[in-house]
Amino acid sequence: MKRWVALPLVMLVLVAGWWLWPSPPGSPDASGQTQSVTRFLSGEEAAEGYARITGPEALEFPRDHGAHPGYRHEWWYITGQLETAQGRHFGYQITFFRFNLDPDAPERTSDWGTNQVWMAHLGLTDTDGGRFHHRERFSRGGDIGLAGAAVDPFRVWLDDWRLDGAAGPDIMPLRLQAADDGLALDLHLDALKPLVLQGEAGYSQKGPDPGNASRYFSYTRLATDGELILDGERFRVSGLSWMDREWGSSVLSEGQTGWNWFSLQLDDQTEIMYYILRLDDGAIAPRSKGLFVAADGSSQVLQTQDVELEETRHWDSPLGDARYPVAWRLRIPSRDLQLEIEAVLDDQELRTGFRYWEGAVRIRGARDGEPVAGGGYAELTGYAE
Amino acid sequence: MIHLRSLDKRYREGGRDRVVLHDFSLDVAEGERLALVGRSGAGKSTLLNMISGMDSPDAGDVNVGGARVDRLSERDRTLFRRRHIGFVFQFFNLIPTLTVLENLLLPLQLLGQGGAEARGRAAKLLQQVGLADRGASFPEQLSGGEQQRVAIARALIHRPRVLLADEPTGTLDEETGAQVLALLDELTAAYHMTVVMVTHSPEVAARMDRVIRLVDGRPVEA
Amino acid sequence: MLRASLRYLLRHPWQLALSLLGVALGVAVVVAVDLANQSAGQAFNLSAQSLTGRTTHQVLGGPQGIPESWYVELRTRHGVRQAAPVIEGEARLAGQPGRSLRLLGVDPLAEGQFRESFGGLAGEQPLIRLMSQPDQLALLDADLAELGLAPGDRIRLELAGREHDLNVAAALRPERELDARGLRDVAVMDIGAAQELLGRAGWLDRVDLMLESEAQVEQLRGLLPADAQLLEAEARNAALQQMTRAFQLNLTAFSLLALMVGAFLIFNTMTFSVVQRRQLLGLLRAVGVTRGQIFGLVIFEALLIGLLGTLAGIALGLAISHVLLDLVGRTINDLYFMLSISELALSPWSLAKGLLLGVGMTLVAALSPALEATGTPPRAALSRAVLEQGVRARLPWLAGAGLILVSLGVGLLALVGGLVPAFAGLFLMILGWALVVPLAMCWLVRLLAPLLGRLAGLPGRMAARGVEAGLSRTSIAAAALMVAVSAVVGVGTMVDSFRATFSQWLDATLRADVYVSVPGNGALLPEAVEALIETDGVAYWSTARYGRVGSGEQRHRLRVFHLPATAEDAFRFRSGDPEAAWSAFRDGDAVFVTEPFAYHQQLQVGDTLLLATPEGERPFQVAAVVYDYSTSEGAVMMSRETYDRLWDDPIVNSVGLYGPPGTDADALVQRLRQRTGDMQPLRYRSNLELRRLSLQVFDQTFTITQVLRMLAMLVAVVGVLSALMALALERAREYAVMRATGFTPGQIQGLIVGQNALVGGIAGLLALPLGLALSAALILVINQRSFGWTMQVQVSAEVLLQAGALALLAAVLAGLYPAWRMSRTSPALALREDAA
Repeated sequence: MKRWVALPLVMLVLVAGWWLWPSPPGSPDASGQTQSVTRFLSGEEAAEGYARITGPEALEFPRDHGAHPGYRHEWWYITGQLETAQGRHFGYQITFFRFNLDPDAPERTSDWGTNQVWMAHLGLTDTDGGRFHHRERFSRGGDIGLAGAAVDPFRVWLDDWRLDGAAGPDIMPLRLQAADDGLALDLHLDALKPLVLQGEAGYSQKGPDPGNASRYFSYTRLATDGELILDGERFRVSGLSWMDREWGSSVLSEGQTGWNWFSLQLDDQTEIMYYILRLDDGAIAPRSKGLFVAADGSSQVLQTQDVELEETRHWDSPLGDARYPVAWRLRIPSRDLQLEIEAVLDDQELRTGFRYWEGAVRIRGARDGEPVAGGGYAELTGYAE
Repeated sequence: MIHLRSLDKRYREGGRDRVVLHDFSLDVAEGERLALVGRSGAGKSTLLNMISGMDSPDAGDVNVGGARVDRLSERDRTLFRRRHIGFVFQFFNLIPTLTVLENLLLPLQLLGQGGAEARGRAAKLLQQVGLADRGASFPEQLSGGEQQRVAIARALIHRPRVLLADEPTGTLDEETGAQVLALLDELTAAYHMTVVMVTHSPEVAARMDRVIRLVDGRPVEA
Repeated sequence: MLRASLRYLLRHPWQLALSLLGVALGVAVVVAVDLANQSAGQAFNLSAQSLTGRTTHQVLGGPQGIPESWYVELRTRHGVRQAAPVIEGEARLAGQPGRSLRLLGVDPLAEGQFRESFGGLAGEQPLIRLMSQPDQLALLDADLAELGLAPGDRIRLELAGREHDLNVAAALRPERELDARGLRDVAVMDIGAAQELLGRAGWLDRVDLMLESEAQVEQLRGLLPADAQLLEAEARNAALQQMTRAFQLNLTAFSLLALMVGAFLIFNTMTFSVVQRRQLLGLLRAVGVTRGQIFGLVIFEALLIGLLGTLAGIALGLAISHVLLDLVGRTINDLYFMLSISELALSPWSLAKGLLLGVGMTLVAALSPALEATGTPPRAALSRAVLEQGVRARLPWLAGAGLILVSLGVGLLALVGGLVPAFAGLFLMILGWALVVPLAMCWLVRLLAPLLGRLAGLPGRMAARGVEAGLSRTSIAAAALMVAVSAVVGVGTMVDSFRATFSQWLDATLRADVYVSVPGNGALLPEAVEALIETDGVAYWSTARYGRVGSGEQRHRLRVFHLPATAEDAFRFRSGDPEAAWSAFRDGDAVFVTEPFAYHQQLQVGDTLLLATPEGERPFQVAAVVYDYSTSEGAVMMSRETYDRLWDDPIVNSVGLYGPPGTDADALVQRLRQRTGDMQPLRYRSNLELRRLSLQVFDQTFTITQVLRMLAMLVAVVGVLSALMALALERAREYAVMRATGFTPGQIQGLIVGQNALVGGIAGLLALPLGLALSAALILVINQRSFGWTMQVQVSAEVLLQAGALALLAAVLAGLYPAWRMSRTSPALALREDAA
């Protein structure tokens, strides 16, 4: 759900400033294009021609680890907390996005002809250094092989950023390699818990209409170790990662301004995913949801009424036009759980064509009176216009 | 021989008409030798040009030897001139690209008489003007007096009935001028030619049979 | 004093007008050619800048290009991200013959920072459709406006022989003015669509790179496919542009020829004006005007004429340049590469050059008359005759100097290498021979005078003498006319020789009855080739494959032939033993090279040539140098057998089909069409048709030469008109005396025309040796050095007669007006003027 942020971003980049080159500011064409993007996003008709997700369906692996090109969007999303032996902390994020931008595209002779566009984001939070690094890439999909996802063996890639896994239904362990301009990750990930299906057996409904939904599953606890290079300095690191897989064709509902999304990994071997959809009037949409994963890997859906979320501190973007929450108090009374969540670094805002905040957080709190701690990621969209 | 009746001639000059001849009448008898005198621009040269058919009057008759020169076509006027008129100018008389002999022969050749007889006549005439040995020279190699003598010879070689001379001695020194005039007298008398000579010199005029002064476009007997 | 001189000029309006016209025409031709050249250069630079953008290096492949998988590996395996794939092609606008678009297939998402020029894209439809749909393109805003199209409209293009209905997905509106010009006639497509439309699926024409360090360059070099090259983008552009240099230099030389004739004109006018005013000048000297002031006066007049004429010439040049631009553009497109020159590059430098040349030439031309004027003694009333005598006395010296210049010119041509010395030699030859003209004319006239006297009597002799007497005028007119006519003879003979050589070569080379190819030089489908060679009545067949192959930093044209043994004599050997050459060509690693190639690369039979093949760079022995006139760049020829051993490339670009003797080509074409059906749009050309079309292209290429030749001739006619008219007017009094003596107007007319005919005839006569020498220099030295072609010198009587007639006609025409005027003027008036 959270990665929808990317959809308008891609459209913006592809349409308004095609070759990633700025159009003359204020030119009527640029604004005209932006309008058509809005239309594209909000109208039901715009989703016409795409495959739709209308209800729970049995997932099939390894097939469903691969791409689903008939759906409008899809992503492979990994975040994690890493530490060196000396205790230096890093947060990282890598996402491979796939978009189908033209459902009516015909079959083509050329391998280049495709309706698939790929985008990848790489983020690295240098907690102790107090800096946040991010990179972005685009490529076309299609048979040409510049970017794509495949199974047997499993792999997702865009140029030389790649995530490789095993053949067969279980793709673990994974190897993530991504390097770009002074920044490099080479990590091994292995699942400590099996994948969990989000929503109703992987059917995650976003709005009242049928089809306004996505297929969604996660690996919530991945043991991670490997190497990280930052500004030419090499670090041996290990930690925990989280991987989300989601695809669908649905669009944002009218009146939704943005969302706050959390993935939290606690040291009692439990994980929590929770998101709220914010409405124009500041209220929280009723379809906001979460998931609690127990130490044994079993999971339960969290409804809005089960969770209390309170913003306790804010931070202003240096650009001056956005104010993000960077600390929260989260309570789940039914589980006697109270967590203080705080960004490891206030400024983890991606200031690219489409601005959003995506960053590592640290957690302190208590369950049943016992202290718990942990780390996670938060994604905040719709704060900057 | 020459009968001019009521000639009118005007030129446009500087945007207004200048009357050169007005109701001008004159008769010159055959064999008569006439001097035309008058101020510069009085129309003396114009009168010569009309007699020769090189210029035509605005009104009036030009009768030369029975031919109505003013009514002839351009071509016939040229043929008339070729046959009946001899011309001597003040300067620029000879054609620089032809030798003395060729200059002399030119009128005869134009009349289709290029034969041995013509050559004989030319040689004789050259001898008469005292240039027997200069036949092969080009005009530029002669002195002014010599050139003028050749010019006279050329004007007379085809025995024209009328000789027109426009200040033939104007550029010559006194002595040479006298020689040239003497030559002119001698030759025209020999062929009994009618002569009309424009001159500024009273002495020269005095040698002629009759002197006509041009005053305001009319002849005044002097 | 200056006022007196202005008045003098104004009193002789005809003379003034003609000399102004002469200068103007000369300058116009120079300016027009220079502008056309500059425009071509600018168009090339702009388009190179816009299309190269920030590309530092380019990877170019062998005949097929670069496999696209190599590019994918480059990004996904080696992490080279500053790389952009490119497919290039040519599209014709359906229904608009002659208008072509340069088609550029790129990957929008890889373009990144490569080409600034592609920014500012505007369209109604999401641009993803460029990638997802097979029929989308983007065009420059200005081009769209010109075609009356807007984004969303459809455009019909002919690509590789097939018409396609494409959709204008977007308008390119570059922010920089520079790009708006550089992108003229460029259609941008997605690389996928471009591959499909041009039949290039799986291949790239090149990969553009932005490499920042030597380490990156080295890394890339290590990754190259075996038959690919890594070239610096700028060097490659420069090499491309270099190809047109010889052609453009030739144009410039021709334009200077026109200016040179114009300079004669000025010389003539100034000399005349000085001579005519000797008395006035003498008077001025008598009242105390210094020599320096007299000199200044003449120079001032020349400057005035030069300046006015040059300004008019620049304006005229601007007008002509549009025509020339078109011709230059067409030639470049025919001979070198696709280039859209849509606008004139109004470089101030071009105009300044024109100004400098025009005024400078005028001043140089006026130098001699000005010096002559200072030599006027006070109060001298020198007669013309004395002056002419002085002139005549100088003739031998002049002629001597002329002969020295001619020998210097010949020496330069023969002994010094390079194109510029060759042209300098050519000009020295012309100038030198022009100096010989007066003396030669003097002699000729004396020789001819008795003959003319016998033929036409006294007037005949007078005409001859008149020419001699006015030698200071007539010789200049004759020299100007001679120079122009010799240029006509020289260039005419050169073109004739070239055409004859080309045509003979075509006869020898075009041996098949029918040639089949794909429009746009695409690949023939294998099944189409199969069908063609199995058609009834095909006895033998040949195939050809055209492409480029790397060699060091260079890229050579490669032609791969499969030839039946009977077609072997289609190749004429310039050097190399045919028997040995053919067996080496078929069996071993040997190639033939064309004559221009051997010239440019300085290769001889037995030398080795390194070519990049899929097995790496390999040496090939040059087995023969063959005659070839199809490209001045030159080409390497390889047998299909050799090619197939090294390259995995089944593509055939053209097939030649040989029937038994007496085959009816049209009937064979019928059968071939039937056999291939609608497999592929194919172009069938019979031997005769191909020959005709080739000659047509040839003639079109030389249109510009012909145009320049005619312009030079025009300048000469004006010069002759001016010189001879001046002479006639000067002699007005002489003619008046003749009239008084009894010459009819007709006789005077005849005399003037006869005189001019004599001048024209002599000029024509003297032009022949120089013309032939020029053609020899052009054919044997200049063309050889420019293009590397050997041609047989072919002197046609027609060209010579034409030139003679032209000279005569020009001179006679020049005499008509003065003759008419003289006969019209009353001799009385002339005599009166004389007295005044």
